[in-house]
Amino acid sequence: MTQRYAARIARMPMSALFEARGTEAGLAAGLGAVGLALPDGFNRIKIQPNGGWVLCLGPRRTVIFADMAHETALDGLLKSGFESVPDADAALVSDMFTGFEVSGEGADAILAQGAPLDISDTAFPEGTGAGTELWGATVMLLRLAGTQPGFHILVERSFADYLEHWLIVASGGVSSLMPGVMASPPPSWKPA
Amino acid sequence: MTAMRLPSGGAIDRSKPLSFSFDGMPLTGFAGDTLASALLANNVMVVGRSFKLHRPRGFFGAGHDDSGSMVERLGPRPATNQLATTTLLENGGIYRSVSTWPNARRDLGAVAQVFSRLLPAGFYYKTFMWPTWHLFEPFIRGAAGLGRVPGAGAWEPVSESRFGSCDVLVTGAGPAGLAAALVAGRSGASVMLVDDGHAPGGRLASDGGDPDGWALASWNELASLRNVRLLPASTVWGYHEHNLVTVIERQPRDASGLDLRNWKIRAAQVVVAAGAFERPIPFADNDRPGVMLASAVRTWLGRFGVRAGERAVVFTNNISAYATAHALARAGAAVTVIDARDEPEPEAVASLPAMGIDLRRGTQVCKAHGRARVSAVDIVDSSGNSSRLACDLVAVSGGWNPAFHLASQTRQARSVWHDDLATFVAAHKPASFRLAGAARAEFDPVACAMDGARAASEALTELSRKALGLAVPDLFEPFVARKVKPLWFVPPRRKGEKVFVDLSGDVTTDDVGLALREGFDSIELLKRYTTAGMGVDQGKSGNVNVIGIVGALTGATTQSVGTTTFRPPFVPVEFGAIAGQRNKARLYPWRHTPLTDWHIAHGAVMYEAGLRWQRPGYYPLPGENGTMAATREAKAVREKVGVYDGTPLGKFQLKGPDVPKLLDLLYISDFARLAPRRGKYGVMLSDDGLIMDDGVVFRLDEHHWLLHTSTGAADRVHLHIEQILQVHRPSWRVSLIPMTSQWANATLCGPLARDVVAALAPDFDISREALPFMGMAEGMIGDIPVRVFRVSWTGEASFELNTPARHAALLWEKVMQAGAAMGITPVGSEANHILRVEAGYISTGHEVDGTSDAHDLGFGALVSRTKPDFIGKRSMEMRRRVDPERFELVGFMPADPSRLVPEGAPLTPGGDKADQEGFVSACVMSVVHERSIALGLLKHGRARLGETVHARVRDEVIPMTVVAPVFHDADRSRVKS
Repeated sequence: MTQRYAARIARMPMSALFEARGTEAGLAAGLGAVGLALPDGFNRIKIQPNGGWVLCLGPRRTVIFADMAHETALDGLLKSGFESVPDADAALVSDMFTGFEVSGEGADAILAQGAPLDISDTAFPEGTGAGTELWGATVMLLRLAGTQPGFHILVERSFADYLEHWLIVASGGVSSLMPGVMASPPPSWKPA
Repeated sequence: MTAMRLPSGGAIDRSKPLSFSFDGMPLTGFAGDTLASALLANNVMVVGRSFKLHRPRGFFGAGHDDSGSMVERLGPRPATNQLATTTLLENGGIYRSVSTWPNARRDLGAVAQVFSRLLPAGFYYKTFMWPTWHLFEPFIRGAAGLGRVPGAGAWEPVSESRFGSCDVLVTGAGPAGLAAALVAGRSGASVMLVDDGHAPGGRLASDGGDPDGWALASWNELASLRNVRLLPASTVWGYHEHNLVTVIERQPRDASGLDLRNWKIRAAQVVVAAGAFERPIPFADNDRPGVMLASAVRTWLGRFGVRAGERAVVFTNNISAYATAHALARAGAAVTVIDARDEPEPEAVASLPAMGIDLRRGTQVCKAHGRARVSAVDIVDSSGNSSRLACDLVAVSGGWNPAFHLASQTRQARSVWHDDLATFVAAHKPASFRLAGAARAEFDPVACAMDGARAASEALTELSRKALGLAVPDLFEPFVARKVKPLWFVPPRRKGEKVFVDLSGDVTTDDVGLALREGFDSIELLKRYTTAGMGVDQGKSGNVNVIGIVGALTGATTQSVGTTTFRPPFVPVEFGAIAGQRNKARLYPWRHTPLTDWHIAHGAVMYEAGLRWQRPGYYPLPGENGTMAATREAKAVREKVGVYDGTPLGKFQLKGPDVPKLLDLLYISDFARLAPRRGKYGVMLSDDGLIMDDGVVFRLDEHHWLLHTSTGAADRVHLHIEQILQVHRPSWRVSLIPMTSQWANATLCGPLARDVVAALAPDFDISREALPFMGMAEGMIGDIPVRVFRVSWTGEASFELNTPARHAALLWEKVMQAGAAMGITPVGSEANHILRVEAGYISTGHEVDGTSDAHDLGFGALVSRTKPDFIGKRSMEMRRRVDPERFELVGFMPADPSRLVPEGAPLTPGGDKADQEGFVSACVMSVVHERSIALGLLKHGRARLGETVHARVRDEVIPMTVVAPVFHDADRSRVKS
């Protein structure tokens, strides 16, 4: 919990993540062949039987999320599922994104400092996800399901330190993360 | 003592005394006081000096319409230019007046009044011009202006800037605003109610018009609604396009430690119930402390229990000021009403005798007397008979101006003259923007509330929501102005007497007259020439008077004179609040690679090197500077082996039957026949035929391709391709997936690079035959999956080892261990720059500077002669035919081998001050030639090899010999080894 807003900010463990892009029909064919159910609209999340989810970010982009334990199997399935689809493709991007969880009553107040999107729980309820910006970094933002209010953020990993720095500062904390500065300096190393 | 605190009344807490000081005077106030009310309660009348003439000034308004009470807070939290009328009093606060010395009561700056004849409107255009304005400027600027910027130890408010959204945003928590918020909130719409006061009710609280506490009850109801957010102590300071409303919130209650919060709210519907501003009736010396707006006098009484004087003159041309007369009389003051009208409303005058209030009909105040405080006024009746009245307070009311500032900021609303009220009201507003209550010239509180309800109902209809009815509240206002006799000013009886129409900027009626005589007869020009309406209060009280005076002096109707444009901010807003936390490390995004920690742990000096990536510039050893380190690293690559972090290179995966067509459209050369597992260098042009990027495309298999871009152009190229696919060629079957950060990249380069890769024991063949230049392989190094690409940007054999980012640190460590015996050296971007200049490879931002095409940089041979078209082809060919005088890429050898030429240095014929014939794009100290070498672009450069050209830099001409733009590995035998 942070001092100004009642919120918990945490990096999420690495998850299996896939980007599927192409024509709408191609995506439907490729994902359908794998047995993944598509959400019922853009910016909607569909929870899958294995606990993962599929987020549709527009007519040409879908993101598939699963536990790391399923990564290899899902990778194989998607490769074969899209092999015969000429106008769509799916690629493993687990390494490309870093996940954050911002949860608690103060989560909205923190993220509203960076997100121009209306993230109120009426406009952005559970089951919603969107591509947006947080302090100038492109992210995928998802409303947490369950009793705990909050959000999941997926940001390109190169921006992860920058984003974490902002999340901490926006929550009222002090961040030691800086450009070109180590996230976790080893005890033996001291900056000049 | 004339101004005093009453024993009861007001919304202050008399059980909580607060100590403070002003200009060194120890004083006390109460919790709930503003600094202004506390000063007034202590009979402190002079709180500052005027902007230009340093005349003593007191409080004129009781809120944002006050013009003269800027103070400096010396502690706690030193800050300057705080408006005393809106600053809550703090225990232990230390305040002083601004721009005064030694204090507001005895200010040496008052000497300016002696020279007042030299300081008319626009004086700085006319006087102090000889010998030069700059001689006088420091003194004049020092004497004018506001507070000093606090120095070391200044308070830096903790600020936050955040976004917000709502269905209905309501401005103002007076009767109209509260009613609007209630109607909208009860419907279930998301509502934000913004009010600049610390308690709801607007003027109700000051005027005692809410006997049943409707305002507080309404506020509490709103606070209980989950869909309503209340923002007290907040001010809407700007209205921008598409209902983007900016709000400054002070001391937010929901965020400990936060001083300021700037909101950027996107509202579907906006209801502005911002009330109205009372305007003055200017007369000679109307700026004396103790002359104030009649509404301000009621605020002091009603909100703070402060009676501003004991012998009061109420000067008015409308009925509303009679409420002030009544309130003062009830508080024990002796009151005389000076009404400019011959026939005041009967209901206004009926009770005056019983209250002991003297009434003078058809009479005007023509001059104030006194210096540090008003002591008397001269009055004149309609027959011209004058007399003098002793007093210590003059309460003035010239009518009311609806606050249509936000409507004006929409740039769609027009000001329309309201004859009865003699003021402007807004019309033709945007459909999603509504005015309500006094802001719409409705001054009766019950009518205001119903008007607010109406505005909210209309807004809800637009949102397809149903509004519930609102019970008529029991509100009361005894004297509502429904008819105002315009009285823009009272002419002075003696020449030279100053009648102030804008107290903030010391603008007088003489200034207005002078501006008109000098031809500034447009109200917008007059405003800028005189600065009327441009001071602290931004014309909130005096603007309409200026317009009226211009009409009176020119014979034009007030409507035809028109209004000036109100612009944000409505109230002063701290820049720091607008920025919020976006400063220092948070100004722009920054990016790290998975190897950043390793680089820093090994002493790398990090800085941005394209598209926000923080990269190692160099890895200095003890005793080395940057140049020494970069030279050592470059030598290691030439002689042994180096490794650099190439992760930031842009990477995109392409798939689909139309990928070859896309690549042929994107690049100048042919890609369609590229075989699987092979790569090709390509140059990409923009629509205008100039180079956008250069990169390498590999064909992974029959269906998949990998497109690499330069680091800095990755985003630009991504958007370019997406636009082609989504807009220009939507039928092409291509999928494009950005992969930049998925893959980390450790690039080995140098004559021993292959040996290091071999030492890593990959499970695939890395022989020259199996993995030639521009070839690729995939496999495992131990447990690490890798893709290897044979591309070079250093002029040495290179192996780009790509691996999913999760393995990056481990792969890098393995590389360092495997290469240790071969003297492997980590290489930063500075050494890379040396190596690429030696090899003659181009770089985005240097040779690719937005003006060069493919032929200019020596890529003419890459331009396809078989394919019919590619992006930029026509533009490139047209430009070259129209103007064949092109700058071409060449190398340079400075005559002085130790001389480094600044990048960007222009080349001119003979080094003369003449038209530029080229420029130096890069210059380094070559580790191969142990001398300076350079690349650059030179007019007809390729035909001028061997010539001497001249770089022209500050106070120096540097001769250089033109050479081929490759200084190392000209036959590319090392690269292909």
